[in-house]
Amino acid sequence: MDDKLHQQEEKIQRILERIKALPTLSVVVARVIQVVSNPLTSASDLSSIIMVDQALTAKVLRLANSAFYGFPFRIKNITQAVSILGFDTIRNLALTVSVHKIFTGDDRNAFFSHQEFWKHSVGVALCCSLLAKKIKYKSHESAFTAGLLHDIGKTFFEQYMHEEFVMALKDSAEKKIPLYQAEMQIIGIDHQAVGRIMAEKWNLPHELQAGINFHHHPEDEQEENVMATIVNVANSLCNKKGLGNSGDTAILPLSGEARALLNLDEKAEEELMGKLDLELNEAQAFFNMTSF
Amino acid sequence: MDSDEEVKQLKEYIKNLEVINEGLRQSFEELTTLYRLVDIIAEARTLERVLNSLLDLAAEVIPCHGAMLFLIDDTTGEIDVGLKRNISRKIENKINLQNKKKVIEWALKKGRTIALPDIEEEIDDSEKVTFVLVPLIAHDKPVGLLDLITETPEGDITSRDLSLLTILSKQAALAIENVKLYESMKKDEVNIIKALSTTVDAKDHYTSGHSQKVSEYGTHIAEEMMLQEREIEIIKYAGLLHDIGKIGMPDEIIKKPSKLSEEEFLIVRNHPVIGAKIIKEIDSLAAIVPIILHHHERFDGKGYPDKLKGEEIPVGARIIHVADAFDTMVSARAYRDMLPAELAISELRKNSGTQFDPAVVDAFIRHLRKSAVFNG
Repeated sequence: MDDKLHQQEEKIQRILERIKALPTLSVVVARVIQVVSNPLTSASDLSSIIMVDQALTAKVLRLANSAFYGFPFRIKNITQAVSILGFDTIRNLALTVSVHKIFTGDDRNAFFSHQEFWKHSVGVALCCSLLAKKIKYKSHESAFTAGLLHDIGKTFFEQYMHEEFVMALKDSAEKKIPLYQAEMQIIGIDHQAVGRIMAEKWNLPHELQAGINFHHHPEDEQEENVMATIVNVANSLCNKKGLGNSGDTAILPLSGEARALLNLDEKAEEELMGKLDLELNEAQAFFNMTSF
Repeated sequence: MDSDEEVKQLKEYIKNLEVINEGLRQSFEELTTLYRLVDIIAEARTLERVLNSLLDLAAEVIPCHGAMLFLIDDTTGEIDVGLKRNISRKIENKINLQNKKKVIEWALKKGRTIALPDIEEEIDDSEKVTFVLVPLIAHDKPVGLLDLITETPEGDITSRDLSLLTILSKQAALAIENVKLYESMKKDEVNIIKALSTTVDAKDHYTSGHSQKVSEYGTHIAEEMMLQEREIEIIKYAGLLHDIGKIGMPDEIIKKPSKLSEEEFLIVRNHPVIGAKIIKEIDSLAAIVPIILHHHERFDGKGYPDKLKGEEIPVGARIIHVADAFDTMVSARAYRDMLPAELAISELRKNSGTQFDPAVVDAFIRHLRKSAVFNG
C-alpha cells in the first residue's frame, strides 16, 4: 500500500514537471496581460504591443469586427479596437486567440472531439459572462475568460497522458461518475488542478486561476468564491443544454447555494438560457476560429 | 554587507517610496474630484447645472473643450441632443447625427465609455478631435450620454481615464434622474392646481375661465411691481385657487341671477376662510394660504374676513383683489352685464386708496396700457 502511494506521488511529480516544461504563452500575450493591469496604460501602449505579432493583430481585429461585439462601424486598427471595446476585452481576445492553438488538434478517439470541446468552452465562456453581468460581478470579461479556460487541463491530459485520459473518459461514461472523479482514480490528479498549474505558469490573474481550480467545487474556494460559482453554474447549464462536449457526460444538478449566490431561480434560468441562445448566434466568429 | 551595497539598497528603497508616493498623490486627487462631484451634483436642480459641473470635472480627467449631452425621451425612447456647450460650427459640421446615434445606441447597450477618433481623413492631425462617449445609466436604465470633445488622440486615453469618467457618469446619471423627477413633480403640482381651479370655475358658467384670468392679471401686476420670481409664482397659483372656498357652496347662491340676500351674502363671505382651510392641507402650497384668506380685504380696512388695512394685507392678496375685481367687471355676471374695459379701469381709479391699493392699481393700469389689447 505504501509502495503504491509512493508510486502515485512520483507520477504526479512527473506530471507537474511536464506541465512546467509546456511552452509558455506567447511573449506578446504575456506582455498584454501585464500592461492591462496597469491603469496608466494608454490605448496606444496596448496596441503597440499587440501589433508586434501580425497574425495576432489580424485575428483580434477580425473578432473585434464580428457580430458578437456588433459595433455599427468598421474598426480599422488595434488602437481603435482598444478605445472602443475596452482594455479588458482586447486582453481577453488576445488570450483567446493564443490559447485557441492549444484547443486544436486531430481527434484521436471517439470520446473527445476538439471541435465539440471548443464549442463547449465558448458556450461556458458566454454563459459566465451573462451570469457575471446579471449579478454585476466586478468583471464580466474575466468571467468570460475563466469560462473559456476552465477545462484547459483536459487539453494537457489529451495531449500528454492520452491513454490514461481515454480510460478516465470511458470510466466516467460507463460508471456515470463525473470525469474529475475518474481522473483522480486513474491519473491521480484532475483537470482542475492541472488547469490551475497551467494558468499559474502563464501568470494569469488570480481570479482566473481560482475559477479554473474550483469549477467543480466552488464551495471550497473562499476569496474568489463568486467566480468559481459562476464557472460551476455556467458549466452545468451548458452541459444540461448539450452545448458542445467536454468529455464529461455526468450532468450534475445545481446546488441551492450556487443558485442563491447567483440569484438564479427557474425563471431567471430560463431567461438566461434565452439570452445565451441569442449570444451563441452572434458568437459564430469564436466558434469558427479554426477556419482562420 | 559592505557600504556600497547598503547605499544601493537605500537608493532602491527611496525609488520605491517615490513611486508609492506618486500613486497615493494621484489616488488622492481622484478622490477629491469625486467628492466634489457628489457635492456639486447633489445640489444641481437643472440639467444645465448638471452638465456644466460634469463637464468641469470631466475636463480634469481629459482636457476637453466642448461637450454635448444626449438625452433619452422617457416615453418614445428616442435619443436627442439635450444640451451643447462650446460646440463650434466646425465641430458641428463634423457630426453626422445619424451615425452618431448608432454609436450612442451601441455604447448605451454595452454600457461602455468609448473614445472615437475623428472620421475625416483628409484633415491634418492638428485639427483632429476625439469624441469620448460616456453613457449615463441610472438604476440600470440608460438616461442619456455625454459626448466630450477633446484634442487628446484616442490612443493617449488610459484605462484609468475611462474608468474615472465612468464613475463620474454614474453620479451624473443619478443627478439627471433627480432633475427629471423634480421637474415632473413640479409639473404634476401645476396640473393639480389647474385641475382644482377648473373645478372651481366649472361651478358657475358665468365665471368660466375667471380663475385663469385672475391668475394672469395677478402675474402681470406682480411683474410690473417687480416682485421676486418666487413671489410672482405664488401669486400665479393663488390667482388660480383664490375662489376654491366656493367649492362647497350651494349652486343656487353661486348662480343666483339677482342680488344676494343678507343671509346668502354671509355664506359667500365665508369662502376665503374655507379656501384657506382647504389649501392649508397641502404643504407645498402653504405660501398661498394668506393670499386666499385675505383676497377680499379692502385697503381702507373695510373688507373681510379680518378687516386688515393697507400694508397689513399681504401684497399678493392686494394684487389678487384688484385682479379679481377687474375681471368681474369686464365679464358678464349672473346679476349684471359686462362693463367695457375702459369703464372698469376708471372704476379701479375711482376706488384706488379706498378699496384698492393705489400702487397695485397704478401697476395694473401701466400693464394694461402697455399690452396691445388696451392700447386705445
